Amino acid sequence: MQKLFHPFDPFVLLFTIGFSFVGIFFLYKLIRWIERLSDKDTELLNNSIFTVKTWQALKEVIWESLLHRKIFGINKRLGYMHMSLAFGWFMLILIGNVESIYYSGRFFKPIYISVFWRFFDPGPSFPQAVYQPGFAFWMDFFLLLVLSGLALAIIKRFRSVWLGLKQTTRQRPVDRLALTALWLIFPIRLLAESATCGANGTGSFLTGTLGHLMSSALSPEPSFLSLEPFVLPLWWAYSSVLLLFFVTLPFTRYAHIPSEAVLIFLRKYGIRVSRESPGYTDLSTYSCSSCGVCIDPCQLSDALPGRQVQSNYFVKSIRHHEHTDIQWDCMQCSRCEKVCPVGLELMTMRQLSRTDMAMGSKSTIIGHPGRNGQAHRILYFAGCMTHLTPSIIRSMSQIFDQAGSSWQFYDPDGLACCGRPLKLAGQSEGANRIKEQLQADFLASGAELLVTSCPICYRMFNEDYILPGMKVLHHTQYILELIEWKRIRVDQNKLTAAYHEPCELGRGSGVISEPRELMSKLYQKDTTPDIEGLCCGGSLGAPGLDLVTRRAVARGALGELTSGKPDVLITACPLCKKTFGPVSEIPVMDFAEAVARSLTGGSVLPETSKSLKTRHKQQVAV
Amino acid sequence: MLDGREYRITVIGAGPAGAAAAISAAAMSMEVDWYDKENRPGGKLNDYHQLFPDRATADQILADFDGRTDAIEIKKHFGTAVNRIETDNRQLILLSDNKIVGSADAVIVATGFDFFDARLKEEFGYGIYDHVITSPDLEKILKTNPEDLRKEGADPVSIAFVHCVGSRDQQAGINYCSRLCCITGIRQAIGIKELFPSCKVVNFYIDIRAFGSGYEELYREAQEKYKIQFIRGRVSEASENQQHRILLKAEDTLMARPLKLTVDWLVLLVGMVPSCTQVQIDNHQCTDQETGFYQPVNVFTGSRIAGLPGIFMAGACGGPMSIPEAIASGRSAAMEAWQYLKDR
Repeated sequence: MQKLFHPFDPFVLLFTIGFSFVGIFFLYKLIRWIERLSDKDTELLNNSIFTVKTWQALKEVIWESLLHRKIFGINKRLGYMHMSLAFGWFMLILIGNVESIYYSGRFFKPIYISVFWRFFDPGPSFPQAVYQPGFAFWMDFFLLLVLSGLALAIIKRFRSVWLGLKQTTRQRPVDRLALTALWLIFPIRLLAESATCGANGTGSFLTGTLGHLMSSALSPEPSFLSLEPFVLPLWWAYSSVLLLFFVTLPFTRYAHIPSEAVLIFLRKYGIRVSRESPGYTDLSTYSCSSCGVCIDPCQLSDALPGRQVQSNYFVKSIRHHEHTDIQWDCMQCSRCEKVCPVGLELMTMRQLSRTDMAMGSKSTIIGHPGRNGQAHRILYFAGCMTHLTPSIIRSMSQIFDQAGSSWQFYDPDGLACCGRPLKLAGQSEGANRIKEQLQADFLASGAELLVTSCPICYRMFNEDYILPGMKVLHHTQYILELIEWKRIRVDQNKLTAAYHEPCELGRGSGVISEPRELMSKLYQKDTTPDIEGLCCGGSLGAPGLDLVTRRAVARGALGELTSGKPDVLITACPLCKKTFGPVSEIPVMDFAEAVARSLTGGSVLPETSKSLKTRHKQQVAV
Repeated sequence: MLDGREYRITVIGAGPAGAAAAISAAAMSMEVDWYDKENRPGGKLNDYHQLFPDRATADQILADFDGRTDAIEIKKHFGTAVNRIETDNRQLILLSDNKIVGSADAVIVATGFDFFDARLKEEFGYGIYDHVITSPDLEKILKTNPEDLRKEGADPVSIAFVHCVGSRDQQAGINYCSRLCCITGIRQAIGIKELFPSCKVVNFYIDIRAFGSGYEELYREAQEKYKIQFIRGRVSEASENQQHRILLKAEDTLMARPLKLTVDWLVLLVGMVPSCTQVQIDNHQCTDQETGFYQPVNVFTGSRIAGLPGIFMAGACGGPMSIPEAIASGRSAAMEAWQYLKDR
């Protein structure tokens, strides 16, 4: 019995060194993360830590860090893979610990004792009734769970499609090293435990059976040759791979294991990525598990094959403080953010990284046009993009007039910028100056309602402007209101149409149902594909993206959007219309145009260019 | 002595290149079948007013072609759009809407080009504002009734031309230069100045490509004699004010400053794109993937269409080309066809 209270073998040192290293590293990191929060965020943390939010965060940690519920939503097999590895390992640690406490009678003891408990106590010193159906069984059960997840992880390396991923993350050398260690940990643990159990005639269905098989393979005659000499080397091997995994962990994607839990707590307390809290941004980069779920939804994966520009690569690059241009290779469509299982604020992180780069560069600010004339109830803001699609402006003025609205055109001569293009380019100071000017001007106008045709402006007005007493609507929302209040009447026509949801309007601003409702009012058949909204390729979020790539993105998106063979493609953004126009075989219209055509009794479709159609036929023929 | 009496050749297209090819082939005594989708020969020349650099009228050239084609034996099949050729052994079968209309030993394709659809550059407001027109629109107005340019009887005060609309424009998916819009703009600007001397005429250009003989001189004359203003810079957008005048926003890239300008008419100098009535030959991809124009077997030495025996190309179906170039290319295609038939 004395042995049980001071069990020790030199091999445990390897594990202990590795584990201590990880512990010290993340303790240091934790201090740094908290230290580098803004005063406001520190206050949030202090005020929330002893509230129900902590329990909610704990619940979320169990759901997401252990059970990986969000990944289950993406693909069941992928979810199972992540769950089995995380939850299975966690349960092995937990049950191993309880077992060691139960049998040793000591609560406080070196951690290695519970990790290597099976080595120190191969045969239970206590009643079989507790050991066999209890600890032995469950330890084997969870080891099997982990091993099944490992099998899926190996399949994922070679056939990721089976787990719902077309492409997986390309790993760095240090990640591969850690991955190899991780893959080895559990098979070696299985062998070590089985050898121990085989030598002692213990273990459950997995380790017991395998141990028995190993033992009988070595010695058909009982006690001829024993497993004993293999036991210690296997435990040395197990301890070595643990050491390898632990010393590489802080520098690899596996750093997310401890970091993600911290992130969940801080996020629950209301902390968000911001320039003022670099600690939280750093924590976010550590929390990326590089699972690769963000790669497939990224349209640049197809348009820029082989280029590693997706969010997981971006997060890695800022975590390792690499000086690349990767923050610019993004259309800011936020499709990746939508699927990120960790819930990282990927768009804001890119934004901040751009602002860091653009620091100090001066932007030329175009003056705001200023208004004249008396106050009207509605202020219509076309925005610079809408000025490139004059038919939208014309349609909107027809709609305003038809509805008998009291409205004023804020920027009839153009030259009004909402500031978002500058913001997206990282020039936040310039964006702010524009915002201040326009905001004051809007408020001085005395209008109650600000209607804009541009989702980019709409998002900027909603997110950055402070406009008390003024409602901001995108024109799709406004038009729907007019129809519902019977101020205008549109007729449904027999055409088949598909709706292209602009990124800035749908995912960006949450305006999702209104355009779809308008679709049903305008068209008899709606063939909008049931997919997450796509980027048209024209994005202002990617100032450096070349036109060939943009066109490839547009073609790819059009292919999906027109899969139901619609007669017309409807969008709600002048930039999307401009981008799709030259590549689309069917007409592309904005809602405003479709509604205005219905009001004025004009033909429901604009004619498409004949020569354009020939060009398409040729391209299809190639 | 070039004697092609036993050869039957078909020319598709009756614009300048097609006419030159047909005349030359007939002069070599070949049996010529001449097709065009329109009911009369001449192609786009029928809509042109004057030609550069000497500003001869298009009608003069048309009359010259008519005289020559009437004086020689050419079988004319106008109003028939040949849109498919099938190769059958050494015979080429011509089809119009899947109906066989004839056969030949060799074919010269001279289907020309189309003007870029300016509606694809919506920011200029073509098809939206009445006073935004294209260069071919202006050409028709100048030819038929220049009085249409007046507004309520008054001379136009200012007119702006925008160069490179659907030419050298990656955004429109057209990376090549149409070459002839520059000189067209210069000539049309002079035409406007002659009609309305007090009218202010401004050309917005990226750079002027006055490559042909006499072009540079015309460009200089436009500036010195006619006081036409040339501003380097792109027009970013056009809008209409309440007086139906067109408000332009542009950048003067030499002065490096933005500018606004209000004009009575905005003329878009549209580029040249492949014709929508191109002929499909078997199931060959015989056009350039990037531009959509036909590709010759060798850009230096052969006008035979790449990969196809017996089929030659002439004129702007192979890319932007001036009228003298199109005529020369029609002649050379006829010569090459004769050589091909003789040697085969």
